[in-house]
Amino acid sequence: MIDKRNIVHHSRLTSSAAAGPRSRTPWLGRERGSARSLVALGSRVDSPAAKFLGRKRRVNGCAGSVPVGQIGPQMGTISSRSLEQDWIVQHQAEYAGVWVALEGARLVAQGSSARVVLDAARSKGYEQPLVVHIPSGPELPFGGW
Amino acid sequence: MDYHLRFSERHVYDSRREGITVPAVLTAGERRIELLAKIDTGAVDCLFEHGYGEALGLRVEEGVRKTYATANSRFEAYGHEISIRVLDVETTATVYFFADGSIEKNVLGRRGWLDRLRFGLVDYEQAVYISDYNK
Repeated sequence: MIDKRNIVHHSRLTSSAAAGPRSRTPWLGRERGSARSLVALGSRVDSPAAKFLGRKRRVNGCAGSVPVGQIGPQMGTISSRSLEQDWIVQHQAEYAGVWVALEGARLVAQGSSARVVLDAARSKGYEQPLVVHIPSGPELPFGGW
Repeated sequence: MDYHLRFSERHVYDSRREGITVPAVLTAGERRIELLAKIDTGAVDCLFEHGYGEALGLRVEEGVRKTYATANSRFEAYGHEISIRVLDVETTATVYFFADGSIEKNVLGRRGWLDRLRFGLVDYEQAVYISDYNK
């Protein structure tokens, strides 16, 4: 028998964006501990509802570029580049002011210009890496034009 | 009265970064480059760092020169016709590259991008919705 009083809505358990430092869902902080234990328990239970929520989560809950109404990325669709953005957040102080080419969580080239970096990445077989100029200072709030 | 819009693409952006950041692919002739750009409804045009223009093989300074005003200053940029692909929507337009190589901004503005789309934003969910206007 499952005690439904402790069930947390799936969207609160899985939204990676909401779990970020600028979360606008402060209730998540209070429930996170219980949510983790519920997820762990839920993984042992095989139920149609859990499978449905899993499908719904893949369609609606994950960060990324997913054509509406379809599960998973299509061929030719640009990746959400979420791994690359994780890398930037983690390494921006270390690579401040440097141009980098990223593929997934991997740094494939770095240099002083976008052209140099792009050519270096292509010479290593990365046809379309994400090329980013890491900000030379902390990313200040942008006040608009 | 309710109004309904239909979109072909949805993107959940990274809330840890300033602004609404999306991956974009710029193409000029045979060369293309993928970068991160911020959606900016206040920008008249699409503006990119000088270095991306060079990486596309453009002679940036030979483009159409334009002066822009900001809240407290002005800057120059050079226009070139290229293609922009964001999610699965591709547009062709004159975009501008900053004359000053030290400016670190990349924005998708109205002309050449927003004016070719249906565009929806639910910032509370960090979700952007777009569709080609003609589809």
